Amino acid sequence: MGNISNNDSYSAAHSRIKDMEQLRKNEDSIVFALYCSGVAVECMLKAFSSEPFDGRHDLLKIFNQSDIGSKLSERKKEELSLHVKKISKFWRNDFRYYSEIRMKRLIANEMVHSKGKNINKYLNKYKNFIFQSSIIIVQIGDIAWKQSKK
Amino acid sequence: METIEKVDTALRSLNLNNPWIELTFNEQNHLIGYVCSDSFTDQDDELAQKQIWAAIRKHLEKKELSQIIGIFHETPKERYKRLYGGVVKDIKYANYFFHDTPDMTRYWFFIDVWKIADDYRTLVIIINERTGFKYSMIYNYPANVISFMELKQEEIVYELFKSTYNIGEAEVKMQIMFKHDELSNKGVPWNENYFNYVYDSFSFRNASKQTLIFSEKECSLLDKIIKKAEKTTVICILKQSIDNSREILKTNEKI
Repeated sequence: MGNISNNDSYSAAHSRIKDMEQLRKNEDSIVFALYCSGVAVECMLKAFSSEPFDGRHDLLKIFNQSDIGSKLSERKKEELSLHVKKISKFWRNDFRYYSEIRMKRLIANEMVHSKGKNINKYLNKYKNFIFQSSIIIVQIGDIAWKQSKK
Repeated sequence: METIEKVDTALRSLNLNNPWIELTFNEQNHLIGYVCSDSFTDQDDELAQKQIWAAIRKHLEKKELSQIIGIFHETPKERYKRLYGGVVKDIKYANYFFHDTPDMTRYWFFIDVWKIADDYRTLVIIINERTGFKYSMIYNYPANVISFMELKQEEIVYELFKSTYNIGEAEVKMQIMFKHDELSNKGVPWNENYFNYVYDSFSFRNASKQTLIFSEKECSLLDKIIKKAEKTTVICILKQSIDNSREILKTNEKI
C-alpha cells in the first residue's frame, strides 16, 4: 500500500467517517456513504498493523492482522469484536461498483432470504448496522490509539 | 494447558451444535479465532459475543485473556461467505442440476421461479442419497419488494433465479466443505484431500428432464419434500420423474 504510515491510516479513518457523515445526509449518495463506512474501519484497523497490505479488503482478515485489540480492555475488545462482526456481515468492498439499483437488489434478496417482511425496515437496519458499527469501531480505535501513545 | 486449548475448552463449554473452531496466533502473537455453529442462526450477535466472552473469562487467567484479540461467532452460511466472498455468479437459467462428488455420490439441485398473483416465489430443493441430506426452501418476493428492486418485467425471473441458485450452490458447497473438514480432522494433508476442489473448481452440471432418474432412496427423499409443495412446473416434473424412476426400478428388479 505504498508508503502509507500508521499515522496516515489513523487520520484517513477519521476523514472517511466525516465523508460518510456528509454523504449519508443525501439519499442519492447512500451507496458511497456505505462504502466509506467500511473504508473508515479498514483504515482504523490498518493503523494498528505492521503487515504489508495484501490487496484484499477483507475486514475480518485485516482485524486479525491488526494489533488494535492488545491496547484495549476486555470489555472494549468484546465491543470491538461485536461491531467488526456486524459490519463484516453487511459491508462489501465491491460496493464502490454498485449502482443504487444493484444495492437495492442485494438488500431485497438478503431480506427475502432471511425471511424478513418489511423492506423499508430491513433497509434501515442494514444501513444503520454499517453506519453505527463503523462509528463505534473508529471511536474504539481512538481509545486504542491514545493507549498506544502512552 | 496452553491458552489455545483453554479457549477451545471454553468455546466447547457453550454446548453449541457441531461447533467448528479455528484458533490461531497472529504475527503479534495474539490469539484470534472463529467458532462456527448453526446454533448462532437467528441468534443476536450481541448475545453470541457476550456468551463467548463470558465463557473465555471463566476458563482463562487474566494474563491469558490479554492475549486474545477477538473470537468471532459465525453460522455455517457466514463461514461459507467468509471463505468464498459471497460472489454472485452469472449462470444460465435452468431448473435441474446435479453434482457428483469424488466419493461417488450425487447431489441433486432443483430450482423453480413462478408468479402467484402479483408476487413471485422461488423454490430450491437439494437432496443427497448417501447422507440423507434434504433441503427445501421457498422464498417469497411480494410485489412491493419486486417494485423496490426496480426490476423490468423481463429481468424478474432471471434475477430471482440467480439469487436462488447462489443459495443452493452455497448449501451444496457447505456439505462438501464438511466432508473436506472431516478428512482434515482425520489428518489427511491438504494436497491429498480430494474435496479440495470445493474451494476453487466446484461446478454443477445441468440435467435434462429425461435424465431425472432417481434411486429408491432419492425418490423417498423427494417424496417427503414434494408432498408439502405447491404444484409448480418443476414439482410436477419431479413427481413424474419419481414415478418413472420407480417403474424403471421395478422393471430392473424383475430382470
